[in-house]
Amino acid sequence: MTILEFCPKFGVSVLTEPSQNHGDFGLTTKGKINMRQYETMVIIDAMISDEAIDAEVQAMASIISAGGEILRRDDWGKRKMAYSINKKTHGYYVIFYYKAEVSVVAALEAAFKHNDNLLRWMTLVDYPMTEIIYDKNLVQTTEDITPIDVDDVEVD
Amino acid sequence: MSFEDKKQGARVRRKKTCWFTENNVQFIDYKDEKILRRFVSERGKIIPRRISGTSAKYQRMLNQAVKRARQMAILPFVADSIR
Repeated sequence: MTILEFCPKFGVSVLTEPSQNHGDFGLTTKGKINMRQYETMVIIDAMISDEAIDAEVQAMASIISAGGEILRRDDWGKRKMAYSINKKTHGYYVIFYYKAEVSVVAALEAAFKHNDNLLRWMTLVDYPMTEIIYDKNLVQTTEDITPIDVDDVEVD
Repeated sequence: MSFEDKKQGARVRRKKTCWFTENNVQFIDYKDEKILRRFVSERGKIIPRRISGTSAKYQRMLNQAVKRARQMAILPFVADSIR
């Protein structure tokens, strides 16, 4: 039962205040009509080369910026997933925070569907932007998994 | 075991408090693995309110956050047990 020993000192400031537009569901968006804030998290196959991952991320960024603006981009990097997806154990996590119209999201998801390098994605509307401190120590550091990737690329 | 026996060994129950209320948390993000891990058992199950003492409001928020985190392989659906 050690898990329930709550320590008040623990990580008080980890969660910050959500962004201003949380809860207005895009009804009070200023400027362009139908522009809403989205958050898309994508897991790219970590077994592909670094250049290929970079190209994937750039392709996504260009689709978004074509019809909206990227507010923030978080790269978590390579990470061990909690369970394997499509027999892959590691994924490259990218999170886009952007303001765009619905058509942009549709275009993005359409592109995702035909991309075999993507393991999973999730788009959330009007989700508050929080300052998440990604702790690499919780899973596995990038340095540790790089050798695995190199081996796999050679086999392929 | 009679009532008296029970009374003799009466436990002093510590008052459970909601961690989120205490820390004045505004929102539980599904990406915040560190927080979510605290409210998930070793097996990957969400710890019930009656045990963790989380308030209803935050338990609802936590529930959704954990489920989203599971979807994105941040948290496991079922943690592998080591035999």
